[in-house]
Amino acid sequence: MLYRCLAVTVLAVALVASGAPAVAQAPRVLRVATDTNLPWLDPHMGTAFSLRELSSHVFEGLVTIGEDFGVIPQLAESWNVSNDGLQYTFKLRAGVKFHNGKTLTAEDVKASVERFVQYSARRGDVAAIQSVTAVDPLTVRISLKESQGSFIGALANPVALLAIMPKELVGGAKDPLQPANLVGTGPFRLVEWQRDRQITLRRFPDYARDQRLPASGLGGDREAKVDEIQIISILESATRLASLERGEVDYAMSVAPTAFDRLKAATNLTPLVLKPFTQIVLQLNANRPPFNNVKARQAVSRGLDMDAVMRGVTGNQSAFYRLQPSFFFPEQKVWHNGEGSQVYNVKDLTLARRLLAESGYDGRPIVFVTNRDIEWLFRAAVPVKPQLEAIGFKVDLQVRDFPGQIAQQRELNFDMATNGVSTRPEPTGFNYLFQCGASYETYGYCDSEMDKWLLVGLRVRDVERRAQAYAMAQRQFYNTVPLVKVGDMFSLDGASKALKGYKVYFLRRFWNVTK
Amino acid sequence: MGQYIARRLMLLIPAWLIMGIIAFALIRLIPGDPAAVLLGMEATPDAVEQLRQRLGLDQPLPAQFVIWLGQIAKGELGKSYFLGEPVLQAIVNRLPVTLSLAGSALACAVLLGILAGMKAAKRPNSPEDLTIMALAILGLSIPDFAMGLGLIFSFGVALRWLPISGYVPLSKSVAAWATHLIMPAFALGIVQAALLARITRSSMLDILGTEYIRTARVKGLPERAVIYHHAFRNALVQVLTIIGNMAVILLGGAFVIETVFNLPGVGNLVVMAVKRRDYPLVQGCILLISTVVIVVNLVVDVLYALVDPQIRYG
Repeated sequence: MLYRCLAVTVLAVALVASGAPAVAQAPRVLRVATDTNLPWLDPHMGTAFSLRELSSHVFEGLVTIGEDFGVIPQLAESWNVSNDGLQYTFKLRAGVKFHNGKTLTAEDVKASVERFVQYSARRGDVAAIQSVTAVDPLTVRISLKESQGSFIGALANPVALLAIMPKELVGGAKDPLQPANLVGTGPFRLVEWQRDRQITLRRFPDYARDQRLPASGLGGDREAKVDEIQIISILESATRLASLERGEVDYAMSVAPTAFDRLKAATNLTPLVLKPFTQIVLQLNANRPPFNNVKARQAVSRGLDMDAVMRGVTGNQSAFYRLQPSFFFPEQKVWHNGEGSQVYNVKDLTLARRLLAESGYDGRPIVFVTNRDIEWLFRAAVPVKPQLEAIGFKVDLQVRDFPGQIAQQRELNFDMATNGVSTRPEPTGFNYLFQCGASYETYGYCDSEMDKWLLVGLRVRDVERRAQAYAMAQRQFYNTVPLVKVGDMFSLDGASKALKGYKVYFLRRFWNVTK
Repeated sequence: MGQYIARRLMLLIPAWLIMGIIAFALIRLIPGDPAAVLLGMEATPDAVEQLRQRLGLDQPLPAQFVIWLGQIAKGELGKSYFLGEPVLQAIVNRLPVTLSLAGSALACAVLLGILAGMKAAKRPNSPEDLTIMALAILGLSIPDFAMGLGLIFSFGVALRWLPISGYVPLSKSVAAWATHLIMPAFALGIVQAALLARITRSSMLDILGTEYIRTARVKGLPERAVIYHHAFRNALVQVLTIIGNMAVILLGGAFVIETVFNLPGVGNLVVMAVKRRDYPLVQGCILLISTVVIVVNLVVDVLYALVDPQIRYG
């Protein structure tokens, strides 16, 4: 009977022959382990971090961002702006080929921009567009309803990239495009997507290199130097690390900061600190007491010891965090400023207690929500709780899963929540947090002075004046505290030393990388 | 027997309906909006609303339930929000992985568990018995993720004997399929083996103390025949029950091992579906798993009759 049982089991196992397609082995394959899965790969339709990275390999925009986060041309040969700031005329580079063999024309740009305005995840940024005209096959004109200084930045922003795709595929497409229709002009083309498992990109042999500038940021002279990139989904961090150590992958994204020394000690591996990565913030609900009172918000901002919180988040690894007041990272040289440094991380408990008393806080416990799906958000909440209690708050820490936290925030059934805000290459990317009428106004914050500076930043075309406006907005941020900035957090990636030419940036880039 | 099986299979229909209602209600009781999860924390409220409409989430709950029942009546389970493919296809795509893993873990558990349990029962309280039972307690106490990671770092990274992660279909390479499954099957099977060893031992000890075993020995049967032909066959009824339960656990609950070894199986699919609030996929998976439970129990009941001639169904 035992043998019969075993025979049945063995037979059952033997019957499980499956037919998943085999992946052809190209000569130079770069294998990358990722921690994220995407619901769709359409560059217009999502703002996810890993989608930005994928999009910048497969697609290109009219313009993009350079190493210092300034705007540089990409598919545009040049552009000029009318004196009233209402018309942008782009000359396109000639002879640029799509992955399907078609040559790029102004009609493709028109169809892509029009679809982006209507359906994209970032359509609010380009709402000023009135019309797009294909003037001739290599000239396209975009007319705006009103002058918008942020416009070129909005076109370059890789957060939901305004990718140029063939007119026949992108025109009027309301839903995310299927992989077969995701055709771009980038150095790699998408060849296969096994959902939740693997994305395969292959070198595009007819890629039109842009040799006007050396490689910079997401543009310049880019070249696919490996034949294939396999982006393999490995959700468990320890398994990503083990796969890298074993040599099953060449690059592992987001491993635990505690693996830093281990990677450093390995002869064949390099630790890479992804800097900037994200900033940790405490979102406040200003719709109800106590945080509808600015003094209660200031009490949190002035009383917290940000260093202690960031040590808790990173497991005491100082290489993985930085304390600085700005919403822009110092790497964003064009936009970074020091406003607020007098009040950021002052850890003045006396002042905080006084402010809290003046706010009229009635001692009702504040609902502080976090989640454990994104572990660092939870690790940020743990040290914040006793610090808030030291200021005088009573705290009800509620730990959810990620969807649960989003739901609770949307229902406004919270007072404070841990959040992450990733790099915004274009400053208007912060508007959703602070602007009256923007999505986060549901959290009750709307300030006319803040709005004034955000509007200047939106309208003015001169980059220096824009940067000044955002510095003033940052000053107002520390005066009115719509949310509390805790600190900048970095992420640890690991790479094989066999990988040559890899340069750390805020997004991972595998062009100009050899193996 | 045929009638009995048909009757039991008919029971699937009300079971599906009840499970369907429970699955539908349960996943919606957990706070979280699929559209908000898909679009992320930075999505504008109007974008979320637009997606809710596209997914049909703006309809009242009873209407959503009726639509879903209608789909089931047509033999469909709806479309996964996150994966964008039919639920049935998503599950079927992952079945080979789960069946491979569950099958090999079960083989590992049955082989190790029964042999160890019988060996221990032969000489109760001997050093051999005590060692086996101590190992069984150890096997039950080590959490599966710790066992998995321990195996990965020793046999994958340090010794480089076995591949660490991923799944290779049997059709592509039998050798690669097998080497990718050894560590996860062992990590998953060892806990079950420990449990099975303890159950086998105690069942065998009960039976070895009965009069008919004494009679068998007195009439001069060789010990081998006593153990395997008389004692084990009777102990098997209880062991089969445990194996049936194991099959269910291994088919639906291998999430941790699937994650650690990066195996895209059904357990992983279910947990990710819950985390993403992928309602159609959660509902589909619950229906599938409840079907597996019912069918496995039926198979076990039929096997009882084959093992023990005293058991008859009609």
